[in-house]
Amino acid sequence: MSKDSLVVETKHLYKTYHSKVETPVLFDVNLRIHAGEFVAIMGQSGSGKSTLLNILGCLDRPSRGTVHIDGQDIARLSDDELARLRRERIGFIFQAHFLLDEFTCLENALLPVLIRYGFIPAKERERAIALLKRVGLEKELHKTPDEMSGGQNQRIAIVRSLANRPCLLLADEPTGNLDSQNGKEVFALLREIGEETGVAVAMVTHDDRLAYEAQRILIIEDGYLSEKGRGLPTPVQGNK
Amino acid sequence: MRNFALTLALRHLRSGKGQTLLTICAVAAGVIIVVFISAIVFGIRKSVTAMLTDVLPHITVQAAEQRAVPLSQSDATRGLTTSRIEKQNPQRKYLENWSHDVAVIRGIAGITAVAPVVMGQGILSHGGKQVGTQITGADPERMDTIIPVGKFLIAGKYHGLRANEIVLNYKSARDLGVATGDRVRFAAENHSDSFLIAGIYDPGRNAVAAEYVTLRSAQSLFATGSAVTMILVKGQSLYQSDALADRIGTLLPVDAKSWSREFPDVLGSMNAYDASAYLVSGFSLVASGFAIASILIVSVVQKGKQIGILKGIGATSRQILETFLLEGLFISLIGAVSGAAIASALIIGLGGLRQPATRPGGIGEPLFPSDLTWQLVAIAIASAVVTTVFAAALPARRAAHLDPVEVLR
Repeated sequence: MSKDSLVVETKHLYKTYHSKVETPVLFDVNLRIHAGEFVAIMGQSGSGKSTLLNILGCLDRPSRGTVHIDGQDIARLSDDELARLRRERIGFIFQAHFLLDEFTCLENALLPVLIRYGFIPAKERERAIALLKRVGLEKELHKTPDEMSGGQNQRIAIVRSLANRPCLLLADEPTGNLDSQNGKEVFALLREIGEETGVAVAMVTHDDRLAYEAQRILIIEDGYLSEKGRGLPTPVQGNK
Repeated sequence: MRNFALTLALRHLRSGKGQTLLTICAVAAGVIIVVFISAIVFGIRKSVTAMLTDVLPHITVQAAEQRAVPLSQSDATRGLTTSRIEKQNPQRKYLENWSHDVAVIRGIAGITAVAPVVMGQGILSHGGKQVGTQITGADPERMDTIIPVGKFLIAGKYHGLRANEIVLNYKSARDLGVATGDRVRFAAENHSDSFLIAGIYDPGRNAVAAEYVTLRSAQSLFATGSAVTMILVKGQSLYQSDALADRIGTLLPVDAKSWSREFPDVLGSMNAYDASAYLVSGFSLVASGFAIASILIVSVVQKGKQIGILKGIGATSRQILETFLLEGLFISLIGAVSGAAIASALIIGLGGLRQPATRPGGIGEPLFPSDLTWQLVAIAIASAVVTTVFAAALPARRAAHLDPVEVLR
């Protein structure tokens, strides 16, 4: 995938939750993220960051507007097709690592591959081991998550998010549960791996210092998306 | 292993050992109850059936009683008349044309054995001791197909019985203090005769005391001439006797009585046993099904986050559904097979326990009569597997439809 490839494109994206009361969350979000870009998304709690991330991750659907991920209009995809898109083109990192205690470090890192193929091809296994070595976990391959530290587990989660060779990596406060040192290391790792693999990274964070390390900073306030420094709440077009 | 759902299901079962064991125990308990109760109830039924088969003919055919018909019935157009029918005194009726009757009965499909007999009561005596008893006169080979006297022989012979010989019931022999080779006298209403004891048999605690002589001896004792008092009939199944009796009744001018109409309480009891067994088995399966469903629902709630993350990284609803169904399947297979093995071992172990013997040196009846068959075990296992997988379907569907956004929030 070339650096100019458009990975994410939203046009006039609206999201409203319908329950007993209607809760509008996102308003007219227009966003473009290219391959290899590292984008930080900031905003207050409840501003709509996670909702945007869920829609970009095909876990949720927009109420209005269009969302294209890797060229595919997610509104036109069935649940199984969305699951397939997530499985093959999108990587997730959450605030909690959400590793499975039933699986070892290596197996957790390969979960997307296991879900996709039903088994672990030797080539993918070698790649995962190389990535785990890259994040300093070569000696922990056969340990289970409960035998490892929070920082180590979050590194496994990063490797897991890359296991399926995604074009888009979505990280929802990946350093939120880590101390500052581990947080910095995980963030640096994310950025390095993003640059090496050419994956587009969209990271939600509350940490200004980490956000300033990103290539672009997007702010969500009361459901409106804007680029930092351009004044709020002007919608951004996302082009560099 | 080339299936994600299978891999995950096995990992779930292995990691939650305590919970897995608890669920397996719930299934096993259900299967133990089903197999144990059913085997015991069917065993009792089999034992009662065998007892009835051994001591009772399925159908007894006797000469039809003549029915008085009021004359007024044949001339009812003359206006109002009243009739009073005096019931006849019981009269001993014989089957004069029994050879023809036997031939007709033999020709009915489903009839397996026919024996013309002369039955009567009298006093058996030896050395000043007397016992009231019933004598049955029949051809030994034919009689053996109706009531297997030969099977119960503990001394002497039955087949090849001669005209002046008798086979005594063990109780009668004991009360008279006689053995084979001794002589006894049997006194009927108008005749008496002396017999050499050719054999002694013991049909067990449930049998009616009866002594056996040849047909000709009985005809002589009870002065029936060449006639017989009844024809005993056996069919392929004890439970078809009503239909066979009706068939005989339509073909011959006789009274054909089935055992089930003669002893309706016995049939009712056996049906009640069966119904109870099915009911208890059904309740056990349903109860274990609920237990399994509730345990798996708790498991789904506990694994909510995991399901969310799996769906987040691309697992389909179908894969999640398969995971929990496979868990249910493994639990049910292990639980059902182990439950069936435990129940079978229990039944085999308890099968060794016996009631006190009815005679010295004899073997008592089983304390727990059981009928453990591979069909029963297979049905119990299959029912438990179906129930468990059905019970697992609810939490599995719930897991499959979990919204990852909700659970990861």
